[in-house]
Amino acid sequence: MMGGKSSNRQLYMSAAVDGLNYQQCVQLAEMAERALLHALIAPESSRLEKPAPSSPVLEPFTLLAALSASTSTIGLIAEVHSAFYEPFHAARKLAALDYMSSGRAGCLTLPGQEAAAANFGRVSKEQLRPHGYEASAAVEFAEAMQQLWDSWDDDALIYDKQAGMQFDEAKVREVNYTGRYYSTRGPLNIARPPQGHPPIVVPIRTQDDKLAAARVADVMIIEPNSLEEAIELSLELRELLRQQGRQPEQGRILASLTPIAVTAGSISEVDLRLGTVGGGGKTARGRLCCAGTAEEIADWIQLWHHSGAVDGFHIQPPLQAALDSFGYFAEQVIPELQRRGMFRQTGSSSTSLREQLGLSRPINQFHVIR
Amino acid sequence: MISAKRSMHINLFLMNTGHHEASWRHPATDPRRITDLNYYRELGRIAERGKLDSLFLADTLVLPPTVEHKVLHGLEPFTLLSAIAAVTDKIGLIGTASTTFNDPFHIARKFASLDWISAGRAGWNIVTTASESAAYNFTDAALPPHDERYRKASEFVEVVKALWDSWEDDALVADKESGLYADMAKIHPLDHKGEHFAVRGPLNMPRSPQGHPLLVQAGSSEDGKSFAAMVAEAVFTAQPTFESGQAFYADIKSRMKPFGRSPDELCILPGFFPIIGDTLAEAQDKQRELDELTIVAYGLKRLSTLFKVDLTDCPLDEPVPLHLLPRQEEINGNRGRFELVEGMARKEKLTLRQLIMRTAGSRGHASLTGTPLQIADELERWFLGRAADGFNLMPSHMPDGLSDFVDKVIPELQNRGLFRTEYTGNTLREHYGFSRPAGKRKLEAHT
Ligand SMILES: Cc1cc2nc3c(=O)[nH]c(=O)nc-3n(C[C@H](O)[C@H](O)[C@H](O)COP(=O)(O)O)c2cc1C
Repeated sequence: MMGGKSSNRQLYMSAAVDGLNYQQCVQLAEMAERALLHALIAPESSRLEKPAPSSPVLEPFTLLAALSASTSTIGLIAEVHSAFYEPFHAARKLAALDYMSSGRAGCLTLPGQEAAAANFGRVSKEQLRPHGYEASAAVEFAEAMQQLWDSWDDDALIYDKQAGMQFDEAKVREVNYTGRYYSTRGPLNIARPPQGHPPIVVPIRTQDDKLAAARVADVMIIEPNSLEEAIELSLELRELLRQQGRQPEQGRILASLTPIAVTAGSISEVDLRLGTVGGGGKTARGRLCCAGTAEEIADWIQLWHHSGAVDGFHIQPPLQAALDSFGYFAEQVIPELQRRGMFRQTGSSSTSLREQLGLSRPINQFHVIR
Repeated sequence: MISAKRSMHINLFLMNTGHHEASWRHPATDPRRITDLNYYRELGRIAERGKLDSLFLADTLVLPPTVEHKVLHGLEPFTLLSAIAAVTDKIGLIGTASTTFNDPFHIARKFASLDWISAGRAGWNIVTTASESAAYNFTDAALPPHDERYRKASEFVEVVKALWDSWEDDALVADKESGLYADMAKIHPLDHKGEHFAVRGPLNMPRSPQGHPLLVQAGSSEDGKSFAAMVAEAVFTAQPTFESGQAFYADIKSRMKPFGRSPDELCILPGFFPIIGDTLAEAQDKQRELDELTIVAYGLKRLSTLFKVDLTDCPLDEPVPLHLLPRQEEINGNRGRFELVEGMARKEKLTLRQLIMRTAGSRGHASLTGTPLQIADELERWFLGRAADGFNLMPSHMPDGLSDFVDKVIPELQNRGLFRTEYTGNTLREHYGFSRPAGKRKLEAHT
């Protein structure tokens, strides 16, 4: 163990909630909420994986909306594949989710797998991802959504029963967003969401992702092979953020991590195959794994967090026995981190995901002009 | 011939603070709750107490021009229905989704997902979207013409059903021992290439509990009625009178045969807008209270939108200026409702103010202000007289209008043996008495 030195920096934690079994998703969500994790991320898939299908997932918006009814504080982040989606639909569903969950919605954007194009009638590659799509799609998609959210002022709804006025017309506007790939007129048919803008999460896989994230991401998820790589990557990301005139703390960096429990005498076949017991490293599936006892995993997390490379972790349970594995993390590793003063011991007083992530509430972009 | 006894079906048309356009101004409603999940939890519980078949969320893809004085739809159907699924047990969950501004793959996936989450309670109200301004939220091209939208809708539904059927019922194996998750021999791509869509498939989700979520439709034009006769299992419609209801009923059912369908494979559910009082006088007081809150400026905007002509400067107490209205064929939007409201004004020689008031609550649907007995009588008359297989209940204001119906009218219908006293099934299809559509079988293997 690495001694009791505690850091003042907050450690942020999210976890994947996936699979087809809704009751298991509820169990995982409740477990994550008890462990005071900041958010759940529901992954999306736009096609059936072949030849060996991985477990299909419920559709993120329907799943998270249902989970909003059985949880009360944890963030609910939906993965959206921008190549197959409309900003108007996404902005609206996120706003609805944000209202129902009292400010807990978020959006992870990815372009979507090329192989899924055939499910949406985008026959040619050029149609799916025209030249330059990658670089600007995430930016355009996020910008269009943010403009739609800002098409209403926060105080536009007045509900004056006496006067019979629902809202102040001067405070609702068309946005006429016209990008290269998306256009939408607005206004949105739902008022500005409680968080103003539900946070945007961008996974960093390519150079294009980095540039897009620097402009629009509130949270970035990296998939490094080693601590050295993580340090290098986060230096680069923070520099890119700065170049966009943004502060480093406006873009939280989480490393994707698969923790694998090794309790005395219970080293499973998987753990041995991974060969990562007692340390961290990348597996054959390309996932960063860390296998060990709760203390060893906490050591490892502490090392990474103290290095300053990351603000936290996105926990992706191994494909097999996801619930058990997550249970171990939530019930053994998190308490160990809490004992060390590294992870919060009480929930936030606010339900807003932005606030829990230490992100400020964005002012309405159309206000500056008026 | 022995035929199973018909029983009435009731869907709750759930709309923000209620169906009366002034409901949000009523002292007993709270418009701020329309984005609050707890509000819908309460309404869902009341509806389940009444053993209603289903609840329905309408949807539009544009901010209505009349919103200044009228409450929004509120939340988005997929997200709200999924959340309601988590806080209810039995009631069916029907949501609107447009075939003009969505991808079939997304819609197949979202309804299948809702069907899994709700354990078989999902239903789809298929609409072609009549709003011309909705188009501009998705593209810079105008709304496609009426017949084109219905052609696209037919292909859309065909693709969605094929996606739902792309997994055989037993394709999911999930055998932990052998590591076989799905039997790929039982999962089939579509390779659909049609006039509007190219969709390879298969869906990335097993066949859902109902096989096909219930298909609902609400078109009233010629195109709309034929489409309903071809694909729908329930039809929402606005019928102002018993006679028009009977005619519509006979019309739709007679259109089914050419598609190889029997009339009892489809439920016709006209909208019904009741205002309920223990005495007639009390009911009338309730109605007056709501009508007096109606805003004429809003009514003018609403009728102007429907009639596609600016009526805002027309004198209120003179007959509706019918000569200013476009011809019905020129309407690319909601043609069915145009015909209905225009007909009402013409036949009854209404003034503009009268037409505004007449359509303020029911928007042209059947309505009755009266005692629980009177209301039950009227529903029974429509039901037995084959003007309806059930109703699309439109409470005037929420939650009171709903709980009045559930606590006062439902018991009366139950006493008469017209409506269930307990849920006998678990899925939405079972509530409506429909079987689960057979899935794909490897027919080739047997021939
Ligand atoms: C009870 C009822 C509910 C409806 N709900 C919707 C809806 O949610 N969204 C929508 O765009 N249209 C809705 N409509 C309109 C119909 O889909 C259809 O456009 C309209 O009845 C006109 O039919 P037509 O296009 O065949 O003329 C509804 C109609 C009725 C009667």
